Amino acid sequence: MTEPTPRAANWSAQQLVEFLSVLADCPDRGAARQTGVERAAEAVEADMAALVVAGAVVAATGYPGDAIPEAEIVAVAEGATRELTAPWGERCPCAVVELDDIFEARLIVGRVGAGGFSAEEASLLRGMARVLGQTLRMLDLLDAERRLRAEGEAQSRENERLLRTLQQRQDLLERLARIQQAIVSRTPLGDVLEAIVQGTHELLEQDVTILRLREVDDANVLSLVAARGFEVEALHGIGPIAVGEGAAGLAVAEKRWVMMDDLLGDTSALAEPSDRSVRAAMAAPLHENGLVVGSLVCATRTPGRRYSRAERDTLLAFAEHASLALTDAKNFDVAMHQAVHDSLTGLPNRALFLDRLEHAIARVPRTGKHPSVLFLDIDDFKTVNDTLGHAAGDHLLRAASDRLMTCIRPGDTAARFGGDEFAILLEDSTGQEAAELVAGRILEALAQPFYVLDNEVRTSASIGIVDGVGDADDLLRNADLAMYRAKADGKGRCARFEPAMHVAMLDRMAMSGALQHAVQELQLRVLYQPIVDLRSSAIVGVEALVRWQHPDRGLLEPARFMRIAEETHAIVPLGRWVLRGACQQAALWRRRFSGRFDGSVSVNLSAEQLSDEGLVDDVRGALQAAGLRPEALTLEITETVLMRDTQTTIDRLTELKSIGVQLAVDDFGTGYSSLQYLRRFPIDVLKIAAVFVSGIDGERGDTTLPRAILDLAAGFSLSVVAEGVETERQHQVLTSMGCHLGQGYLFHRPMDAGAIEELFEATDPLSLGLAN
Amino acid sequence: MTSALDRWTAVGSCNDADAETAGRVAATEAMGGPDPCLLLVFACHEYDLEALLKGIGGAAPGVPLIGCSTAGEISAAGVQDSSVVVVGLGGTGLQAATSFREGASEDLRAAGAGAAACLHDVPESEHRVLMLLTDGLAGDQQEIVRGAHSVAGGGVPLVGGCAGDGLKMKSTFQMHGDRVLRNAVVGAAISSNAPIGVGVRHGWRRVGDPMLVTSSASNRVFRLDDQPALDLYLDRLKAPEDARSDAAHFTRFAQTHPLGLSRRSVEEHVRFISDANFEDRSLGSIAEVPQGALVWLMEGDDASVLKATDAACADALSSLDGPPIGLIAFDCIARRGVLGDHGTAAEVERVAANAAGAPVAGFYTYGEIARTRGISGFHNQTLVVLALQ
Repeated sequence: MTEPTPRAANWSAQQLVEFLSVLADCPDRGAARQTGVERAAEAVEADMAALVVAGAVVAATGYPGDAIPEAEIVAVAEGATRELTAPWGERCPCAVVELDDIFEARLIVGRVGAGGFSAEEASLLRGMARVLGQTLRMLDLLDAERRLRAEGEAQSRENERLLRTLQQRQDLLERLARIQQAIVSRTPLGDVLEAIVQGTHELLEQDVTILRLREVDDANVLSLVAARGFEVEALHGIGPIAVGEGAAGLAVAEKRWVMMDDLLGDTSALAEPSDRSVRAAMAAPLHENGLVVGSLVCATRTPGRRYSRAERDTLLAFAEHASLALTDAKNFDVAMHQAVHDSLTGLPNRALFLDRLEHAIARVPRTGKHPSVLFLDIDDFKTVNDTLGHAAGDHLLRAASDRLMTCIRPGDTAARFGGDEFAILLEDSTGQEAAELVAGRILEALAQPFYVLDNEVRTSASIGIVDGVGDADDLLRNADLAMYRAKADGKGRCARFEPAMHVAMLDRMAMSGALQHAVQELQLRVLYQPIVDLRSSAIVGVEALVRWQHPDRGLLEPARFMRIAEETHAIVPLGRWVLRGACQQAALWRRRFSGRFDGSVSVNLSAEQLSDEGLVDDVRGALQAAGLRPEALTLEITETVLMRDTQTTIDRLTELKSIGVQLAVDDFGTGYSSLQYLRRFPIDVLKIAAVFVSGIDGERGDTTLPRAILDLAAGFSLSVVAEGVETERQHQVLTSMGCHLGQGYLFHRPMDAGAIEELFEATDPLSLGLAN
Repeated sequence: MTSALDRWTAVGSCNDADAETAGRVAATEAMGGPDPCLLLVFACHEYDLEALLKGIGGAAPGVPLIGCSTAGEISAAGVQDSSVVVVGLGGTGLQAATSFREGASEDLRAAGAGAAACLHDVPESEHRVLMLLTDGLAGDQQEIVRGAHSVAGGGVPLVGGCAGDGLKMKSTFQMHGDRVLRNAVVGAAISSNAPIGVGVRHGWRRVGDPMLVTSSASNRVFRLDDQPALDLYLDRLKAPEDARSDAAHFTRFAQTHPLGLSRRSVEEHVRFISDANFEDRSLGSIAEVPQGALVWLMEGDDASVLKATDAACADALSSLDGPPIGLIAFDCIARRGVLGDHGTAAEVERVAANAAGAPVAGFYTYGEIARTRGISGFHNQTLVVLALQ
């Protein structure tokens, strides 16, 4: 078997051109009938075809010449059965199309194999039937003329009429051929429709010819697309009509050919509402991929004028061609649209965005107005995808793109670049403020909660802004850099591109490269900050804090490299290394300084580690390797991580808890949420964020939040550790409020293991006993 | 019960310069069993064909015969240019009848129908085939196919080829019984008690963008993409200088650069470009290139053409339910141009390999006929294989 060949987009038009030119060469009716049947069958590669006129098979193909199953073919033509039998016995589906209802002429085409005929093939067969009907009618006239001549009684007037009709036939076929050529060569749709209206108007010698199509946003309204028979100024006066109104509206409403006479005095039944002097009109529906989308109407002002069958068929032939052109143009448009749009959101894709951006840049010398480009990335989109599934992610992207569209002007372009990245082109942006204004609107719009598959999802976006200097690629890259800065600055905000960002980017790249090696090359160090009993100042635990001894930049705080570690996924191995080291250290101390140090070690977990499936095994492994009791390990999670409030987080924490480790919430109070999630998570410890502790020393001496946290903790039976205790006053206030644990410079700075050991060695075991 | 013993084919060939001797020798070899029912004769156009038929008639008196002149004769021995190949068919399981129609160019359709009339003279068995040998220079060959199809209907496959004249493109001959004909179509209806298979493949591939036939009449193409067809054809293919003004050079160049005609669901139909009119800048094809059709320029090489050989044989053999008793090949002369002597020998070897020991015969054609589905059945630049079981 051969591979199917993709069909050319305008295949039907080609086939019709071919069909028409072959029929035009047929000398008589018999030849035209046989040729029409054979060529129709060839066009759709059918096995059998036949032409039935008034209950008799007048031409057939695919059967042996002496064995045409006339009864079966006629039964199919009359609708009594829907299948033909091939000469070799196989049954096959067939298509039946009407040529002409005067003689009840029908073309039947049968093709062996499943599936029957496609909509496109059916439409082609209708077009062929129409052309064949026209040809046969005209050939009948030609036969009549020949007869008259032969009989020698030809009246000159009759002859003249017949000749004129013949000329019209030639005209019609030539015009249809030209229209088909125009469709094939992708002449703009408007021009093709104009040519169809022009052809109808001239060939039918009408006073008025109008082509109307449904409005895009109101399918019940038919607007004028092309018209003949009006003065140019009068054209503006032709308003839209409703479906059902006049001959044109009726053809659409009833999906069929209609003819109307004017009913005198009844204006509601005007054949053509745009022209009250019209006396009769006929209209044919126009189809686009099988749906009625408009109509072609022609009308006359001559009283008493009636339309002949031939005229009706001419109108129908033009209407079929208009349908062909509309369908072809639609399919082409759809294909073009799909090529440059994102299928999920319907927004332009990167290619179209770049094209528009390049055009906007090219216009700058003329307009003097620089475009602005916004590069947008939805913060933490991956979490939505991971926790709620891809369907929810897609839903969120669609909803976000809808909101984006409400924030920009009609002339601006919002595009999706894939994933959660969007770009917005603000053409002739009126300066920096305008771009930032739009960015602000977008941030606000995206900060409102989304409702995605029964979940409330809160999100934010980071936006980079750049103004139109440079080429399109530069602008996009710079906007991307600025977006990165916005994200680094804390998400949910926008940043304008500055040349220094290039330097920062290079710096980040260098850092990320170096970080990859830091773990292997032992450049990372763990410092420990003691956690003390606020009443006795005795050390009850230590928090492990990682530092990077960078070869060129010195000792770096986590703030300088943790984000890069997260972005480059170095955080998981790094975190694992810290965890194992801290467990080893704590176990060692608990053995060596038994009686002096029986406390726990706290290790911070990042969001990325928490979503790592290997975390629980890592923790279990670290405890076993070190020989550390689980309750001597406290894992700290920041409130923002916890606030994602996802089932995965809950499951992971519950699993950790089941090992026996303690769980603490770091930086508690900085998030907006409160009780809601404390109930959901198996938490043991709350750590009051340093910012609230320092507030105690402020002018107002604000103790509200620490007090609220302590009350809350008491309600849930949780321990509380105050972070960042730096002054004696803070110490006293916290102690007086019932806070028993704290850490900060007032007691001890983070220090290396050796320094911690010195502390333990200096501790009097008895003092611990007193404190407890 | 059927068995291979019911049916036989045999092939004889001879390149003796004396026509009568060559005919007699080849026919004697082709009488490979009892009850011969049909002889197929493929002969060099330079022979005195009447003398040739006389020699054959002497060796196989009264056996129905059709044949034609060629552009090269094929037998298991390879390809020859000044020889005759005779295929004999017979046995109680095979029956055959022949007919012919002269004056093909005046009414191609009627000629096709006339040559198909022999179908009425064989039993209406489930396994039938109509072989047509035509004058490829008589006009639109698809009209001949339509005419034959109108008699045969969709249930009988059509197979065959256009006679050749060694690429002279002047005059070809058809043979029927003891008569040598010109401008004719000869037909043989074969009815068998075992399956018959037909395969057709071209082995060409599209080059560049499609073009629209904006003006054509029957076999002549005047304009492509609304430009003079000849100029566009020469320019797009970067034709050598001598092909741009010399008819013979052009024909040689065009042999390996056909047009591909877009079809709905099968391989594009290949249209062999036979000549150029340097005055009106049109192209001539051996079959109709309809106005409005979408066409591609095509190219092929040894590998693609040989791949098609295997595919055509496989298609033909797939209809059988047992080993073949013979393969008959109708091979386009243009494929010979692409393959050269070496490749042509390789192609015949491949056909012989597919025949698995059964006789192989055929000829190089100016156009091939193979219709198993639908009506379209005329091909160019293809290999058509008929497999008998």
